[in-house]
Amino acid sequence: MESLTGFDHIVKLLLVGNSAVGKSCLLLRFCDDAFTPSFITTIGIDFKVRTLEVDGKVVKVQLWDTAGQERFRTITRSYYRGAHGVLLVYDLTDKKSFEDLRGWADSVSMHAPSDAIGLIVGNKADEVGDRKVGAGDATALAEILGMKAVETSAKSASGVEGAFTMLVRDILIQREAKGESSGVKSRGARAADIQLAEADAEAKRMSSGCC
Amino acid sequence: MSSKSKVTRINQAICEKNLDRLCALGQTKEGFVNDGLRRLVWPLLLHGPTTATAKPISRTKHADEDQLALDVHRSSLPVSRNQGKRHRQREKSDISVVATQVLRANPDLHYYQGFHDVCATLASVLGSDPPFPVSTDAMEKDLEKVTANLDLLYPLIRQQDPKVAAFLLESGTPPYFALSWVITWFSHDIDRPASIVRLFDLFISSHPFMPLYLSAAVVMHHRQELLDSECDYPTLHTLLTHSVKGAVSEEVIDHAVTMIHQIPPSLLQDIASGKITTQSPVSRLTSYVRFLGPRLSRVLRSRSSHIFGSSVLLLLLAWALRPSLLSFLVTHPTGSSST
Repeated sequence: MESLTGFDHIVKLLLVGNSAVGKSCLLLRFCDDAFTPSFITTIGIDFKVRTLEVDGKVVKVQLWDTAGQERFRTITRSYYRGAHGVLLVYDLTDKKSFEDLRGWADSVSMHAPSDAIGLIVGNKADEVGDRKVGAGDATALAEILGMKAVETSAKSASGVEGAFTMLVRDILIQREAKGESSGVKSRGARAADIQLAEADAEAKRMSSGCC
Repeated sequence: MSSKSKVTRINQAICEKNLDRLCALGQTKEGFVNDGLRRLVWPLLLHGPTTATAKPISRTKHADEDQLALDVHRSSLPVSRNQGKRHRQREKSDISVVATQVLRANPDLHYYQGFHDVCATLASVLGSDPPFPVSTDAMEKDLEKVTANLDLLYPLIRQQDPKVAAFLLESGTPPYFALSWVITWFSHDIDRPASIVRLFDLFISSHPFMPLYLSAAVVMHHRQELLDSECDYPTLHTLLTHSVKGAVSEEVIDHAVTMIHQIPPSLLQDIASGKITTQSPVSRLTSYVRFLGPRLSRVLRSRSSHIFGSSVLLLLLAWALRPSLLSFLVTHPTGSSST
């Protein structure tokens, strides 16, 4: 079983999003401060861990990296359970990856715990010339979904540390508000301020009938 | 057996087109020894001795070709490492050709990420011509058959090492650490090209469940590390996914070969049949036939040397799957199926 030895908190984060948006590269940058220009195909699920200090608290961050390809979703879906936070990643040079975020948000609302906090992450911010998604579009979607939106570049490291730290901090604030201590014991009722827009998710569910 | 005498025996089996002998040689130390021999042996075992005419390739584009092209283009493939840029480009072109041919020859199949790793290994040995009759269960419309196959992993380990199986179950670790091992024949996970082609020797020579048996052998090979680790899911998942990075030793391969003889796939399915509830008997039967593919006759011939024919084949399969068929007859008295 999980042990809290040496840590104040354990936080479990999940990365989802279309294939090739840079989920594994974000993890590589965050956990190993490295970058590879080669495509890293994630088959099924991968796992990394990093210790982070947030507001004087030592946090063990467990990061689950999921395959983006549609056919692996039956497997990756089972990993939503128990996630405290989900990074919904898109490639800001690929409009479709952004448009598909709503589908990913539906998956999160359906399979993750109801109080899991979502964060929209637009990756590849270094490729400014090829940008297809404006920061305003992401912010607007984030508002609808009741999330925050950030932009990152796994290549240049810009925004990566900040994105993960922000999400972890929000999770800790939520825990404190609910009187929880570590993230190991079960979590209670949902926090109204972070829940996904349920009506919107329900409408999507009705129309898509899947995920 | 020294490498030299093994080379002689492989050459002899090639001359005689003795596929049973070749299969046996592919399962023993060093497999088919070198790429020169592999170029001769792999097509024989993949196509079978009489399949001279390849399936016609459609000119119609397969729905997944764009995704394939994208993945191949941006991939860093194990077979490409330590080689020049021009060579890498040619290899990527070969991989695209191989994978595209497979997809166009089988429009009902689907591309999955990882299949390009399999094609990369095939292309590294055989080039891009002729096309290969290669497909895996991961190319079906969903991954149901793959997950059903992985569901057999812990029952298999339990037969040989109950303590390790219990430890994995207690940790709540699902068998998905072995997903890429099974669907890419370890080619996605191992860095050393020489080790990958050696494993392909084994898989091309064996029952289609061999990747599962090798996965079990790999897990048991890391027994002490596992049992000394914290009994939690992330720890064990990480330990196992990284456990094959360098290579898979001949000792582990030998263990898998021994295991598949001790606990044949049909017996393993019987043992675990209480756990396979997601597949209907009919789809299991189909899966079995398809899994065996062109090697079916050889597998059966090695078990029953003097009887042939599709009726015998079906009887043998029916026997192998008798508990499921019985339950199928009980639950589907009219013989209809909902698959």
